[in-house]
Amino acid sequence: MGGRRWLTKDFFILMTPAFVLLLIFIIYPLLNTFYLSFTHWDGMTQPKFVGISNYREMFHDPLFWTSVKNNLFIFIVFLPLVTLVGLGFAVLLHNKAVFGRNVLRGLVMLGMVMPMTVVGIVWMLLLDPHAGIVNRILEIFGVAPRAWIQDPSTAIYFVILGSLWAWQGFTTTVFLAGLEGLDVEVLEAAWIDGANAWQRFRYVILPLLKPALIVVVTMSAIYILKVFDLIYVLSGGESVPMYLFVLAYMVYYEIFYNFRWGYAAAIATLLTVSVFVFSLGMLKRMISERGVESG
Amino acid sequence: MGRKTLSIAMALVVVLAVVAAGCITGSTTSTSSPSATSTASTAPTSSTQKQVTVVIYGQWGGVEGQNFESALKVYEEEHPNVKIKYVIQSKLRDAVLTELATGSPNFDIAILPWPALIKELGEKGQLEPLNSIVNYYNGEIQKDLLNMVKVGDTYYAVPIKAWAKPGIWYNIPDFKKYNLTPPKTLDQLEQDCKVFEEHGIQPMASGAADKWPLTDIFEAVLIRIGGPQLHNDLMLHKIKWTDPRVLEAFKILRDLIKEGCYGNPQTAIGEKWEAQVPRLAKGQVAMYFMGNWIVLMLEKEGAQPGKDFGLIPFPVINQSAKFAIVAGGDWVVIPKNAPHKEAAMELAKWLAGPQYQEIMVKKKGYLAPNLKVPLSAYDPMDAKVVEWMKEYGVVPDLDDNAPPGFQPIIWNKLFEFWANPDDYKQIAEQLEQYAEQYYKS
Repeated sequence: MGGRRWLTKDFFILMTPAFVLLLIFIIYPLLNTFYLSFTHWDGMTQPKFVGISNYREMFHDPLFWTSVKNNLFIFIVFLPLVTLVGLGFAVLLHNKAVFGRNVLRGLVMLGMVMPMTVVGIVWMLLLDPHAGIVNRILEIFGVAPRAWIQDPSTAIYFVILGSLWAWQGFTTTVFLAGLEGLDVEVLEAAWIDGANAWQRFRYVILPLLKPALIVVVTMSAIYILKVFDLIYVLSGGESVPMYLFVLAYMVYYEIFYNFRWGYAAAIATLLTVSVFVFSLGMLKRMISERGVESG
Repeated sequence: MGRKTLSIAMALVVVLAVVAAGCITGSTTSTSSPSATSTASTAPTSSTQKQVTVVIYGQWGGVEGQNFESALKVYEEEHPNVKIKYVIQSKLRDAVLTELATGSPNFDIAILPWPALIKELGEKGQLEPLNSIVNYYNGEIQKDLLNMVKVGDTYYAVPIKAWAKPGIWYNIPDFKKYNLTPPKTLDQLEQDCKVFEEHGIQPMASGAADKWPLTDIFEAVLIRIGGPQLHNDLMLHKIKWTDPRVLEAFKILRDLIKEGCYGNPQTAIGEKWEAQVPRLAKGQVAMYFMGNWIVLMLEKEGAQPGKDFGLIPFPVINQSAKFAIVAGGDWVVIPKNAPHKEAAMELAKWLAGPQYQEIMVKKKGYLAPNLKVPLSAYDPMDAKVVEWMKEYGVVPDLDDNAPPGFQPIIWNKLFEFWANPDDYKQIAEQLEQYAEQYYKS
């Protein structure tokens, strides 16, 4: 029973405020959302219990499948991209030979410290078909101006690009922290053994960065599965086009335009469960990695 | 501390937290019984004694917001016991619906531009009937605007501002420079477009990136094909989106888009509506179909009505079709559970009256739903719009009066049409499928 020595009076006093807040603002809303997902509720009259009818409807709703498809597409393209870009920047900024690397480290973080609405507005200004600098530069190279953000064939790529710009600051920082924490002796040993730069990176640095990699992949996955604000801003607010619908926006749309809080709660529940299952898988992996390391 | 004591302490914490959370639920469910509303209504706000702060939610910002606040000062001076707090809500719909769902909204009055939403909220018992105000002004308020928010015999809102989408605003120097006359027919419009295009001027702007302006253009074409009856029938879904006359509207617009009347199709879909106003003032764009509110914006850009810009009705397509102007407004609503209902009713009455509306009319870009406001109070361009409304008659805005969930679908589908005009038949079919779903429910 010695393992429970931390169950002291102080522990409970210190934990109580956080626990109460967690209960009110996280656990209760989660449970309430789960309950609402089994009701028909318009946000005004009494909720009516309808069993699993919302879930059944969801799987027959073409808009739901469009949203799932878009979520998956964004997820599949974004995740490797943000990981590679973050790793690339981290390796570059870890190198002491890079001129002005401290300034560059600050610049890399710029997208991350900006609110997503500001990121959206910056992108809109940059890509404006008449006044945007991107189209002006492209014109120099003979590319005709286009409405990149609004064009149905390119819009989703700019959502990914905008998210990448905003989020790579985080992935770079995590990888940088991982690189800073590497054991120099191990690297020196590899160097003495005659490993070249690529071999050192591939066979020494990368395996040692695995914990950082798992954090990056988990957090990036959570971030991108919940993507909403950037799509909302880039679409001009109230009218996100159907080819950009994602699950998080669908929740909003069902509540504020169709007054179907119950149905929206079912979608939100599914989204939460997906994020939870993915995070749990990654977390387990991280714990087992740690177990291997320490064991 | 024993384990038992700790367990009790934790249990107490959990109970407290659940009770606190339950308070949130409690208020949520209280919404659901609209009849159990009105404790707040009898709060002693009265107008004579206690100081009351009436909170108004609206989305008027910029010059319009400043004008509104300065008009409210007049009311405050006349009612020293009333303070008015105007809160600009950029996401007005979200704020209003969320607060109504909690059962205890923080606002006393909301200014909403969505008649279909107002009716839905009224039917669900969320809004206070405003028949007393309508009766007080006995016939002074524009009937069309009142009918848009009427359910049975109950008026759930009163209009405090009217707007119209009267036609095409055009840049006079551009037309003079190339010896063109503002188009009266579709053929003339197409010819003018060609001349402007040849001289590197974008013939027309659409404001497509914001999507809603596209429905206005579509409605104008629809009226010119089948008159107000066709417009009304589609709005109420008495005819299908695949009706041959509706398809004709799509086809006419497809041709205009493909001929370059709206500029380069690849950039036209990225044009924000507000950004087109300075372009029109500068003559970079020759014509722009937009509502009367741009008068103020054009004047702010230094353009003068009659000298730099003028207004024409959308060109004739079918000679036999009666013309009408799409008009709408902003309405005030009072929630059933408004914190200061009595004071809110008084203020809403004043906002629906001629004193307030004349103040606003004199500030330009504002049309009064109260008919007691004299025509002499208007700026010449606004007066012209009011006269047209009287002469041609008005029809309600199609998408604003469609079921709330269908409105963004109309916007989106018309936007997809603008991006791929050749897909118009497929888009009309998709719109019809959604319409069947929404109008049924």
